[in-house]
Amino acid sequence: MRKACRQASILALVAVILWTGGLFISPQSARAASALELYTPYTAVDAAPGESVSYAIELLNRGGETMKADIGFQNETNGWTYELTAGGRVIKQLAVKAGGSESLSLRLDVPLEIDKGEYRFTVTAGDAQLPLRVFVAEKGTFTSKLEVEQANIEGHADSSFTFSAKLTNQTAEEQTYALAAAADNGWEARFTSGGNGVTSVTVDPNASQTISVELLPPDQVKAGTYSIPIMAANSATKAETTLEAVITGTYGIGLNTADERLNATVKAGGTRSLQLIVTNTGTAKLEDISLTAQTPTDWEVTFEPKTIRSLEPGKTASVQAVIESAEQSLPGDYALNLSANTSQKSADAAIRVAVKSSSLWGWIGILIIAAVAGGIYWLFRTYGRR
Amino acid sequence: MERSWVWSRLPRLSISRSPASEKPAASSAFWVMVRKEVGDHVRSWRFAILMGIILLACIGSVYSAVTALRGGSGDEQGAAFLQMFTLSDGTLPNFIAFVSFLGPLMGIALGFDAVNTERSKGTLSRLISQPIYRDDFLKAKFVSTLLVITAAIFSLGFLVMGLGLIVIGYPPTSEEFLRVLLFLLTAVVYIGFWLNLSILFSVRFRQATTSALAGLAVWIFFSVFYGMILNLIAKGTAPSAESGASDVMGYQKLMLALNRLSPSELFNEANTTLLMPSVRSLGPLTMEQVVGALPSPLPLGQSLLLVWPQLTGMLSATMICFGLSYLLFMRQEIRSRS
Repeated sequence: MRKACRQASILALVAVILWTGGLFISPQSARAASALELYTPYTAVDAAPGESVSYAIELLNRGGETMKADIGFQNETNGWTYELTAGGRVIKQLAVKAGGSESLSLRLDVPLEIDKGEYRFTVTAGDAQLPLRVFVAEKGTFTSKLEVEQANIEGHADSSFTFSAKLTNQTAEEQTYALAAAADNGWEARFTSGGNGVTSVTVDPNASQTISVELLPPDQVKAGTYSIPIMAANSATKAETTLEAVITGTYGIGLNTADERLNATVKAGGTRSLQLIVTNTGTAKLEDISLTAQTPTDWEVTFEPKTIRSLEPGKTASVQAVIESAEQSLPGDYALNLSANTSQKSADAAIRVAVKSSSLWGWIGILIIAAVAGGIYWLFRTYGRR
Repeated sequence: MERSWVWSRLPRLSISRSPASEKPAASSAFWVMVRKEVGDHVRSWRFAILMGIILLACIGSVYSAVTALRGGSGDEQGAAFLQMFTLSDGTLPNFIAFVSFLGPLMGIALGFDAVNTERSKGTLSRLISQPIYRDDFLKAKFVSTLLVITAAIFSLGFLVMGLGLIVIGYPPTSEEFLRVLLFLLTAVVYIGFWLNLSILFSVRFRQATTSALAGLAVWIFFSVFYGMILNLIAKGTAPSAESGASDVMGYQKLMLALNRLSPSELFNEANTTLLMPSVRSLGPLTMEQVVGALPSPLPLGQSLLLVWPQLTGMLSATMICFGLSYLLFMRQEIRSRS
């Protein structure tokens, strides 16, 4: 009997030890043994900055009676926003029938400005807890972006340069940007959006808009590469990029006479010199300008110098042209074409040359008439007055 | 009869003058003769008939020029005034054609009996017996007739210019006016040539009819037959089709030189150049000369230089004819009519 009593007391002690030890070792299991449980299948997800993560969460009641639970959200970091909704409304408390479940949804917005890493959150319902983890794979920004696909355009001095820029708003709010270009003196920048000239554009959050930038170089622009920074800015955010316009030099040449008269007079068989002015009207240097003349037959035009080795933009050079007309030229006007040629460009000067015939025969005619008159005078003297 | 009355007044003139001043009186006697001759010409039927013909011809040519101008065939807009003289609508010859054809007739008609009629009437010996110089008589004959011709030609020319002003409606430029004046002077020289030729014949031939016929023969020869003879020569000397450019040029130059022996050709070339400023050359042109040439009117000085040889030729021929008739007349014996 005593033996049976001792066995019963050991059993009771073991039972007590087991009971108390069990209590001590796993309090979780005691709570897990609570009637309420929060459940969601995806407890750890990846997300990008600016994205929203949605969770569908179920609250299960394993108990024998209907239970009420306050819904809570524990947020370790700032900047994240969340929303717990059920049945279309933000929910604070939820009641679950015995053995039943209720679903609620959580929307978690990843902020734009965020470091990469692991972020932990906990959803609570009564004493039930649901830990959630979000991994942000990249560093998020709170910026605007201005991107140009082709930032370098080459053209002549008289062409316009049109760039297509994409303005992206990566902030959480709608932004209105003022557009500006820090162009060099004389350059003109025009912003257009959707065919209209604009000075500011409004972009929705996380949206982008295409802006055309047209750059007009000044008239006398020199060849070279020009960097024009453009900027879209407001008080909160700004974005900038640099456009590059490469001006290739234009070739231009002009030919005229020194006094700008395009006519001349020359005696048949005589010579006449003309002072010509060759002007570089372009923006690039001209090399080896040769002077030629298209003349009537048997005329000759000699130039001094025959070629101009080089001529800087905007500079002039003077050339002496000596026109020698043919002996057989008719009196009256002849067309004479002088031209200055380079391998790139050429300029013409059409000169009207009036040929005067030699007055030698006129004097001979006068001599003949004088001789005849003298003869008649001699007749008068010899035979008259008798 | 009238003429003898004229000369009968001369002695009274010579009485009134002082014996010391012989020379001025002689020259005044010359001008008296000129004045009387002019009066005779102007009042004569011959002159009236000539003027009638020429006036009608001129009006006809002006009418045809006006029709052509109104019809819009005046191609050079700037020179419309000169085209009054050169343009024709095809129904009638133009003004210069009439002058070059009828001018010689006028010269011959006014000069063919200058000396021989006076001689045959006996008035010449009576006149020479007066205290005047013998050469003054011939000079007065020439000068008076030339004055009449000048007056006639210039009045015709100004008549055409006046009509031109009415038709065209704007005045000519000074250069155009000078060109017309030079053309009229050329016409006077040209008619003067024929006048001198007929005076030469009238000195040479005793009969007025002979001298008239001689003058007309020369006129008809140059205006009708000379061209035919030239055609014959041209056919005979024409180079073959294969001949070189220098042969053709030589042939052309020869024909031109032969052509220019005719005074009417000289007159036509002078007129063409003076009245058409766009004419730049009168001879054959080579391609070398034409390349690069711009069609533009010549300035007056250049036009004048271009026809200077023609003008020289006409003037010289006129003066030589006068010199010959002078020489002949002075060496002739003047007898009173027996």
